[in-house]
Formats: sequence, C-alpha cells, structure tokens
Amino acid sequence: MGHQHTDPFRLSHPDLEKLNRGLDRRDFLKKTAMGFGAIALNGLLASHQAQGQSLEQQLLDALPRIAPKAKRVVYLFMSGGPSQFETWDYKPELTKRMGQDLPDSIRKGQRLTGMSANQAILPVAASAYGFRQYGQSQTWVSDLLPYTAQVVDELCVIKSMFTEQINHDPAITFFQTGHQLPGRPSIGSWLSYGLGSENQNLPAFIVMVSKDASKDQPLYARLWGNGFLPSEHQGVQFRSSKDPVLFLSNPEGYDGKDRQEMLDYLKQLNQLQNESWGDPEVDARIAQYEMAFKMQTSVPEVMDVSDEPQEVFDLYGPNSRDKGSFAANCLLARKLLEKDVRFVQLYHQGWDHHDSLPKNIVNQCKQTDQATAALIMDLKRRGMLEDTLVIWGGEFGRTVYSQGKLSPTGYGRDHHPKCFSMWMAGAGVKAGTTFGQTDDFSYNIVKDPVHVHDFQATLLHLMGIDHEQLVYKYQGRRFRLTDVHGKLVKGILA
Amino acid sequence: MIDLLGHLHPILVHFPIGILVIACVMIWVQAIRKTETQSSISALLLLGAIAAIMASISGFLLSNSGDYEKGDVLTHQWWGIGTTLCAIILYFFQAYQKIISLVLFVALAITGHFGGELTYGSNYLFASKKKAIPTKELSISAADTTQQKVEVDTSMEVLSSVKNSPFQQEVLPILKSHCFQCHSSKKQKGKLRLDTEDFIKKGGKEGLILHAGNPLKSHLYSYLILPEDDDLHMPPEGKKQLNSSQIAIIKRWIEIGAPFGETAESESLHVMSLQSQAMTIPSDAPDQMRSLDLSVEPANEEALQEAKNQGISISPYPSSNGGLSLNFVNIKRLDSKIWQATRALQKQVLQIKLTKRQDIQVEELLNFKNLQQLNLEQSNIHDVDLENLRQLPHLTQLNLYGTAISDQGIKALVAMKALKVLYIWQSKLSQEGLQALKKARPDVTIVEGKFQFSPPDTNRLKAIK
Repeated sequence: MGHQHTDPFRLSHPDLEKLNRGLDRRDFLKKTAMGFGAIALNGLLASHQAQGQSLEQQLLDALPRIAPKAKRVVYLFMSGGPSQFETWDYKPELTKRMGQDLPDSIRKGQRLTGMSANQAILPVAASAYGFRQYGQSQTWVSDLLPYTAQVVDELCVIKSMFTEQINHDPAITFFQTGHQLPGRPSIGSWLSYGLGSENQNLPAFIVMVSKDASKDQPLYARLWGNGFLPSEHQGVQFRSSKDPVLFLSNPEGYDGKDRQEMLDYLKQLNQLQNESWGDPEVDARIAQYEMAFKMQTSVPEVMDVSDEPQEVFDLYGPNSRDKGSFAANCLLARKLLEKDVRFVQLYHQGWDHHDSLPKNIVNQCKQTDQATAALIMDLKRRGMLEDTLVIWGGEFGRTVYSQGKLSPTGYGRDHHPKCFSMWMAGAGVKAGTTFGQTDDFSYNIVKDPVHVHDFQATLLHLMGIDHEQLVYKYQGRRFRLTDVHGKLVKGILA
Repeated sequence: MIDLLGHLHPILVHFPIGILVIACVMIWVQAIRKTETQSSISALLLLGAIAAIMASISGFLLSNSGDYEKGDVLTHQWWGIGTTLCAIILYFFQAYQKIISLVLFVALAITGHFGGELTYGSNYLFASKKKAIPTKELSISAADTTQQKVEVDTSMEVLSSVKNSPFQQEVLPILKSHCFQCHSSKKQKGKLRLDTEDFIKKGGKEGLILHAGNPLKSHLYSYLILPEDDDLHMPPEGKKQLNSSQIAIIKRWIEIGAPFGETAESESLHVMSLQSQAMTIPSDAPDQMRSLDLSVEPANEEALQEAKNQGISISPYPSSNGGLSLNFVNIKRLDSKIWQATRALQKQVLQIKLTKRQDIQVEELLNFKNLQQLNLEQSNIHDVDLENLRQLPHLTQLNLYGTAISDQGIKALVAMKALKVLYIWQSKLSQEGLQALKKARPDVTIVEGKFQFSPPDTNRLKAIK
C-alpha cells in the first residue's frame, strides 16, 4: 500500500520514509505484537472510510431521534452545594424548632460526613432570610434572590433532587458524567458526540469558570472531559484572559496564511499516520486542528462584547463589564448560544458554606442572582428561550442542622445528598411550576423524587435523545450517561 | 461432550468431501495418464473413509439433539451412511475403483446437498436471490404468503384465512423470511416453532417467548435488539438480519397485545411503529406531548445528505413527525445553489432560521409551503417582504427582533391568519402601531422584550434575627 503523491508535498526524512512505504515487515511485527486488534481496526476503519462515512457516523445515524424541544443548553453549575434553605425550599416550620436536636425519626440513620458526625447535637437552623411569593405562579423565593424572583414564572423549580454522593468531587463527577469515579464523558461531551456541532466554527461544548467566585472547592478539567469518547468532544474552556482559548493565537510574526499552510501539511502527515495506524485519536487530532484554526477567527468575534449596548450591561448587572465574572460569562453564554453552540456550561464556585452561611451566601447570591435572571430574559426577548434549556443547580444540598455551633449570628450547614433544589427553564419544561416536595425539615423527599440519572435522562430527552440509545462501546461494554438507570421526569415536561 | 461432538458435524463433514473428491479425481487421472499413484490414492481413501465415519457419528449425535425434523434427517443420514460404506469399499476393492469412484462422487454430492438443505432451508439452492422483504411491500406481501404457502407449510393455511390481520400481513412475512429456517416444521432450534399461533404461544426450551403488551419481556422482540455479537441475539450472527423497521413492526405488534386475528386498528403496524419512532414518547406521557399536530412524510435520505453537504444544519422540528428545521448558520453566501439543495425538502421543512442574514431572498422562502416558524431576527427583512410572507398559510411563529420592520408592515402581520407568536423587540414598530396590532390580533402573543428589573429592596438582604 505505497502512497503516491501527485502534489508537491512529499515526505523525505528517512524516519518518515516508512510512512511512504506503508507497512514494512518490522512494522507489521510491531503492530501484531501490540495486538491483532489494531489490524482488524485498520481494516474496519479503511472499509468505512471507503464508504465515505466514519464508523461513528454510521452508528449515530442509526440512533433513533426524538423531536427535540431544546436545541441548546446553558447549564449554570453552582459548585459547592447551594443551601436549599436560603434559596428555594421554604420551611417556615423550622423557626419554631430553632436550636432543637434533629429528631431521629427524620434522620433515619442517614450517614453524615466526618465534619458533623461527631457533634453532640444536631441543632435545627431555620433560614436567616425571609421568603416571599412571586409571579403568577406564586412561587416562594428567598429574599436573597430578588432578581431571579422576578423571572420565576419562567422557571420550573425542582425541590426533590437527590444524589448518592456526599462529597464534592464524587458528587460533581456523578452529576456531570453519571458516575462517581472520574473517566466517563461529561454531559456536554455526550451531546457533542450524539448531536454534533450545529455551528462548524465553534466547539459544541464550551465551558467558562467564574473568576469572581471564592475557590473553596477545586474544579478539574476532567469535569468537562470527553472520557472515552473521541477527544474532539471534550469541553473547550474559554478564559477571561487575553487569550480566551489557550494556544490558539499565532506566534508573533506568523500570519494566518503561514499557519494555514503549516496546518494543511500537518493534516497530510496525520492522515498518513491514520492510514498506517487507523487510530481514531488521529481523526480526533485532525478534527481538533481544523476546529482550532476556525476558532482563530470565530472566538475573538464571539468574545467581543464591545458592540453590546449599555442597556445589556445594565441588565446583566454591575459586574458584567468585569471580564471573567459570572455576570460577564452569562453575557458571553448568550452570545455563544446565539451562535448555536450546543452546550454552554458555566461553573460558579463558593457555595460550600460549612460555617458563617448567612454571611457568605449573601455575596454568593449577589454574584449570580441578577445575571442569571438577565440571561433568561435576554434569551426570551430574542426568541431563544423557547429552544434553549437553562439549568441552575449544584451537586447536592445542605443539612437542616447547623454544622458547628448554632449562634444568633451564624450557622453552617453540612453536605446533604438526600434532597436539594435546582431549576430548569425554557425549552420543553413547564414554566412557572414547582415539582416535588420535601418534608418539614427538607431532609427527606415526600413527593416526586428526582435522581441525578433521572435529571440526565430528561436533559437528553429534551435534546432529542433517548438516554437508553446513546451508547458508546468501550472496554467491551456499552456505556451510557445514565448507566443502567434514569427515568424521564415527565412531570416537568411542557 | 456428546453435544460438542454433535456440534462438530458441520465442520467435520468437509473432510470426507474434500479428501474423497481428491481421491476420485486421482483415480481417474491415474487411469487416463497411466501414471502410478496408487499408494497415494490408498492413503487418501483410508483417510477419507475415516473422516466419513467420524462425520457420520457426529451427524448421528447432532440429529438426536432434537433441533431437526426426523424425516428430513433420515434421508441425509442414510445417504451419509451409504457414502461412508462406499468409501470403505473403494479402499478395499481396487479392481472396480473407476466405477465405484463415480458412484462415490455422486453419493457425496447428494449427501452434501441434503445436509445443506437441513442447514439452509429446502429451497436454498434454487431460490432466487431475493433480499429481505422490504417494508414497503409489507402490505402486499400477504399475497406472497399464499403463493408460497404450499411449499412452506400446510399449517399456514389456518392462519392465512384471516383477513385484515396485522399478524398475517406484517408479522408473519418477517418471521417467514428470517426465522422459519430454524424455527418451523423443518427445524426446531431451541425447541421453538414460530409457524403457527399455538407454537408461538407455547414458546421454546426457555419458556414463553411472547408476553402480549410487553415487548421487552418477550424474547420474540428482546432477542432481536441484543447486540449482534451476543450469544442470545436472533437471528444468529451471520444470518440474514432484520432491519430496524421490521424490528419496530414486531415491537408494535406485541405492544398492541400481539393479536393473531383481526384488529380494530386502522393503521398498519408499520405506520404505527414509524409514528412511535419519530417521537419515542411513553404512552403515559402528558397528553400534549402525544398529540402530534404536525405530520409530514419523512424526508428522503439523499435529499437530506445533499442539504447537509452544502453546510445546512438540519434537525427535527419540535413536536412534529418528520418535520425539519433548517439553520443556515454555517452558510457564508446564501445563493441559488444553497436553495437548490433544499428543493427536495420543501414539504418537510417547518422552520427556517436566517438569523442576522443580509442576503435573504423572500421568494425562495415561499416555496416552503408548510413553514411554521421563521427566524428572521436581525436580518434585512423589510415591510414589503412581509406582504409576500402572507402567502405562507401555516406560519405560526415569526421572529422579527432587531429588524427594520415598521408600522408599514402591520397590515401584513395582521393578515397572517395562522400567526400565534411574534417577536418584535428592537424593531421599528411605533408604540401606536404596536397597540393597533395588539387590538387587531389579540390572539397573537407579542414578545416586546421591554423588560426591566425593579431594583431589589436591599433591607431584606439582612438576616432576620
């Protein structure tokens, strides 16, 4: 299978001569030593390439499609575990029980983290902030969220979320990838894999992390990683610095034409390598270089907010001109969604309030409340809310009892996986509704529990994918985002 | 162990055939060319005879497994034994070896043929190369069933007398073409027959295969959707596989209760399965999700590919069956070539998104008569163009935010009978014009976008205590 080059490009370095000749005897032995699988794969890929369609594409074409309600998703991930007591789950009964030990009949032996398990008493702490009803839906919203309260008729608040994880990293990993251990693809990667990119000049999955949040718990890039899916489906992080995407701009004195020429040759080299090895990661590499080149023009364009009118900055709040803040990221998210980016995920850390919760959560809400509400209304007036799904939520909830001493000036709350609140808005969800119910202590769910896998199944459904059908075979097993679980939450579907 | 020996039969049979045929050929080459190769011939004949004996023994064990119809096996069995004897005789009696070798050759061919029929079906050798019955022909395939009925099975007659039966018309042809080879009167692999209602209801070695109303519990369906390399997958790897619409038909048939007789359903299983495929919504989903108010015939695959090749993003249109959304976000220049590529999709396209485009050709849009939704935000659409858009009878949603649409366009907007949702934020409509529009069309939801937050009461941000 010698390669004939009709174009002026020709490999001449002796090490590369092997590529020109294709497989020689030594190569063959080397490859067979690595497993006949590689050869089988070679043939498999070659035959699919011959038909002009990748294996992946053929598999995806066979995927049955549900007519999607949502074409795009923006997921505002509140990392750290926002307390449901000070945001969405109004528990007026707790004021009467302030300071009392949490009854065993409520706790039912639930495991606690090491941070509060040894406390002599688990004193019930009522919210330090008031609640009021808003909108036509008369939804109870905390006084800490005065802006979101004004758009509450667009939201579907789920008060009965629950997870299996009690610590941050496994809980976030579980939420984003469907498994507590690292290594599985993130939701956005699954969507990129299953649906592809609508806009060919931007990645299907883009991530931004707030600069202005307190970094109490770390985030890892693997949370938007592709796991075992081909690498081009990994989330691309946009930063607030001069280079929004690292290593994207040309070196000084190197113009776009040179870069293109270099990339064209590099692509040919990669293709040769691909013909010789048939490794799908080479395909991914080629796709990524192509995307990176397109992003050299598309990213500066989409990140440029200079032509946004003052009115827009006013809407998103005072921080929206501060690059990298949650508010500025919300504005950028809208711009990316306008460009039909499939999945935009914003992370905002700092919700892990083990102590001084009343003091700290105020600032946390201040940083996020207005921009969140603004994003919804901005999408709505542009006609995009009807096919964009907006999601707000963290990885778990917080305990009804105070971690550490309950004092008049403050209390803390420990991690609580058994119930917490999040909301969805926009495409395909019932606007102005509340779903699920917790007991008087917001400790257990009494109505309509929603498991993390159920949430994931519903998210995929809204994007037009049956979560049981979107599978990827890896290490001899077919993997799903929802593993072998997940039920569609029909009650929230419009 | 005995099972294994039996299962080796399909492998072992090739040895006597190959070796003995070579021996026969060598006998005749020796006779004609007058060469001396008798020692080689004898060695081959001995080897061939032993192989034939092995094949016979393993074949006998296989026939006892119960997967095969006794009568058919007997023919093959006696021919096999005869062939083996013939090989042994040939080894011991060199005198008549030319004549006996001819007999042996014919016996080998006949034995092999009967064996082949057991494995591949009785009309395997001379059957035409007809492919799996395409789903389109399903409705007329009942006639096809009657035609071949005699040679397939007599028990069929009982079933085929029922008219307007989805089982008869749609399920049976699939079973016939894909399952009967191993699960009918000829062979009963896994002790299962699928050729009569009683047999289907009875199930096989592993029990029931049909749970009316529950396809996932019914092996008749669940084995079909296992990965092809799974041991339980049916039909077995390498055999002719069912296509997705055939699988969908079987699923649908079980879902509606697996009726063998006539049903009241007016739609065919095929159509019903297509509907449920387009939107796999569980039957207990909220009502508004199930009502598909929009239904168009599915787009042609080639037409879809052609449009995709031009860079047009295509996705299913929400709440529709077969409807499509076109997004031109990747198109640099919207010229006639691009529109040409969408010609074959004109019936299916229910939404077109031309956000921020300055090169809109309204007359092209008018070809999409079923258009429901048009995204023209921040485009160069003008009041006069709205007059043209009136010709789209089903236009329910129109996004005109950020356009130069002014009060001049109100008349056309009012006249759009189907219109339900209108986005006009940052257009040139005056306040009076908007009032007039609202008055003339109170049924239209107009999103003005004039949203402003009321400043929060900062006092309430303090803790209660």
